[in-house]
Amino acid sequence: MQSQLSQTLLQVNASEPFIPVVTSFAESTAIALGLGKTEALDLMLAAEEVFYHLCRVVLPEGGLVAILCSGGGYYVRLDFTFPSSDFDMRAFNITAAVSLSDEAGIEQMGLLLASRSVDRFKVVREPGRGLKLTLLKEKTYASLEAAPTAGPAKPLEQFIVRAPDSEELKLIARLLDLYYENQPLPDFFSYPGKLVDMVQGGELKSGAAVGPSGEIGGAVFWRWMGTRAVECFGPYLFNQKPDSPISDALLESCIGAIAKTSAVVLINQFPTSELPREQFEYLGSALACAKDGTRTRREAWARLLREDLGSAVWVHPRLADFVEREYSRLVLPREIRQVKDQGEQRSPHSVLLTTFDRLRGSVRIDPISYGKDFESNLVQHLELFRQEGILDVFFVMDLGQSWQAELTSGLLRQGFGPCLLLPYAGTGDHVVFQLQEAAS
Amino acid sequence: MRKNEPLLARLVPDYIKRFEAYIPSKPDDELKKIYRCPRLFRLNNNENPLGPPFAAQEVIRGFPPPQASVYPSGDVYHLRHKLAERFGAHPDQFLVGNGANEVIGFVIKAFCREGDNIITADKTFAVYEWVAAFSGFEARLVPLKDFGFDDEGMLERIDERTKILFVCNPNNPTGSYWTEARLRRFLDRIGGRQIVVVDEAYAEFVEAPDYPDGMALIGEYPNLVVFRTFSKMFALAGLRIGYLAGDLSVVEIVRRTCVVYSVNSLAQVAALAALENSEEHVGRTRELVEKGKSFLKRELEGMRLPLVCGEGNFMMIKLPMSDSLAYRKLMTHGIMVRSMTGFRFPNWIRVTISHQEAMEAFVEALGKILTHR
Repeated sequence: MQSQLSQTLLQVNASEPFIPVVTSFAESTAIALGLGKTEALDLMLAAEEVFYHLCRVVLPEGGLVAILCSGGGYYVRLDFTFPSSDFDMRAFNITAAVSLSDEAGIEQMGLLLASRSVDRFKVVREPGRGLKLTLLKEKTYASLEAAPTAGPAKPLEQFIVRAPDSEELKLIARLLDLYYENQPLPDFFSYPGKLVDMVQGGELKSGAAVGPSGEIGGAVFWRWMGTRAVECFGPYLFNQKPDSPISDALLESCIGAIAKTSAVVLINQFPTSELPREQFEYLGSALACAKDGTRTRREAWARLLREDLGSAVWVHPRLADFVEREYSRLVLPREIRQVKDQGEQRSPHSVLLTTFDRLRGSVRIDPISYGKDFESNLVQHLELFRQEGILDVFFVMDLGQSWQAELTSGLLRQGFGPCLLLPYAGTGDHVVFQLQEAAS
Repeated sequence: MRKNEPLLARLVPDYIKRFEAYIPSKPDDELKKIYRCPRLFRLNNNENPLGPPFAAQEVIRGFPPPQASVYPSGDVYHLRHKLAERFGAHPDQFLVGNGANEVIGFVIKAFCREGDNIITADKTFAVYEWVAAFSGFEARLVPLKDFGFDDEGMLERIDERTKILFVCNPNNPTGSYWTEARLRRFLDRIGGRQIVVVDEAYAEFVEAPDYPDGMALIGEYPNLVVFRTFSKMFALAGLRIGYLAGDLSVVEIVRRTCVVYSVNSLAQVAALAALENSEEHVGRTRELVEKGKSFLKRELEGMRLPLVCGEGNFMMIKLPMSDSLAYRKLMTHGIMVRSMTGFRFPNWIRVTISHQEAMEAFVEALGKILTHR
């Protein structure tokens, strides 16, 4: 949300003659925003299929479609906003297959192609405006190459904390690989070019502890997750004493930068031994794989940045014990509203978003929309993950979205258990579930 | 898309897009419900627990309801004359606002235009920085030095587009202050090239002989603007009234950006009454603050907690835990303090000095939350 985006807007009637306008817009803007030719063509294809679907299925009588194309450094994003409350997105499930023997299947084929052409997608309701479908395509980057690297020859006695430049960021990526090789790290550190683009695009912020001769003694990174939470990575130290003041200085630079913003909480899901835990609150832990394949329990910590003014959360009765215990332990005032299925009309199809971290054999599932088929859809996803050898499967539930609470029973039946509560990580607090069968 | 939907992306200036609105605390009754505490000691806003001076209390009690239908004095006529009499100045040297916060906006609007900047400290009252930022001006923040405003650091940051320097004296939240000699040196170095605002919101709490009386320096330094408030010592925070004073030529400019009729009638008469025989009220308050500070210092030093206790009716305490967690835990004991991460002092809390009962309740609750971590 804080990134310095370049944006271009196209507003067009949902009518097939405009398809070339949309495809041309998507491709040329994506290239202008830095996407390579291949990725730009993928995004163009997705735009074409989505727009065609809107013309044929969603808005057959026409309607104004706003397409916003924006660049965030390492990605280009298309936001389609259109006046509809009904949009069947089941083809966006990674497990989706379509039958070409019926018209409904053919209608979904275009969306299936679109979903496979992009890296991420999202759909949200825009109050009074209809739906917003977001498609995101990332640039392709070379992975980290082995290169001779060393931290400062001796611990820094003097340093300042400042934002590192592009070459320093690449050096930090190599230093992380050297000093934190077998510790869980977010995947963007494995692609130095992506790291640089994320920082320059404003999505990721950074601070480095720099000595008098330019030696880099440590670094910290942070980025927004939603509108109220900031996730930080580190602090990382390179050849410094364990009690070095650099850790506190790096963390203070991060907190100082976000203290007067709308951020309510600072979360760290990749804590290093240098993280001053007494300044944070323990959120829980999950099993996770390091790059060398070893599996350890990864903790999550957080600190609120301001007074907690309380909020309401939607919780299924079967999850109530867990959240009540966690809210009590964390002294987070919450009004817990219980959710029950009372037989109301429901959409038949659910949509799940999957984000893979193939380096560490893990996948995260975010529910996009509720459907009666949720549990069978989830089972299909789990079968796919098993086939792909994914060990760690996480499911993230947003307690600020009442419909998500209804997924609880299906999750528990399929072997998921709650392991983390992340305050303010989404519309409300997030509960992270981990598949116990794989975790045990 | 809705019909006639405003094109906010085009309409909203970038500096507003970047600015995040401040979310104030919920009302006490809501907080008590949220944290399930039957009583609440408010130690978060540096309010005076004694309440307004007796004369002001009388005026508030006797305010005739029909008077609420009549517009107040648009330029706070009687209070400005009273202030002029009190400080030996001209009534037009004063501008009264809806709290001192409002007069910050008057000054920035009067002197800054696109591309200009203001300078203040990074860890001080945040409203100078906020008003500059959401008005489209750069706020240059100079790190505190030994918990005090860094005069050399501020001077170094001045360029040809610097219009105003804000000095909070004594500083909220550290309680540090510039002596008269130091303030004079600073003003001499500025030499009239910029406006220097000295915010004296807590001036009435300071007894140190070397503390400068900004009002007395205006004659000598016409680029000096002094802020005062009725919210702290005079305990009229709920009525919102504060003022600025400066040289006639400067105030005449600032008046052009001043919103008239923004100060309500009750605030005007209560402030006027508060100045009558104020010595007794100031004396009682200072006594309470002194007693509360020495009690807290003794207790907190016993807990081996680092303190910053300067001038003003507050002190800062460094905790071996997150300040926001301490806030929540203290709230469950009915104690509301200010968590200081928002002031860029992570793990510190600021506590208002209050009645002995509140101080004892705070110490007891703090002891509990530190023991049961």
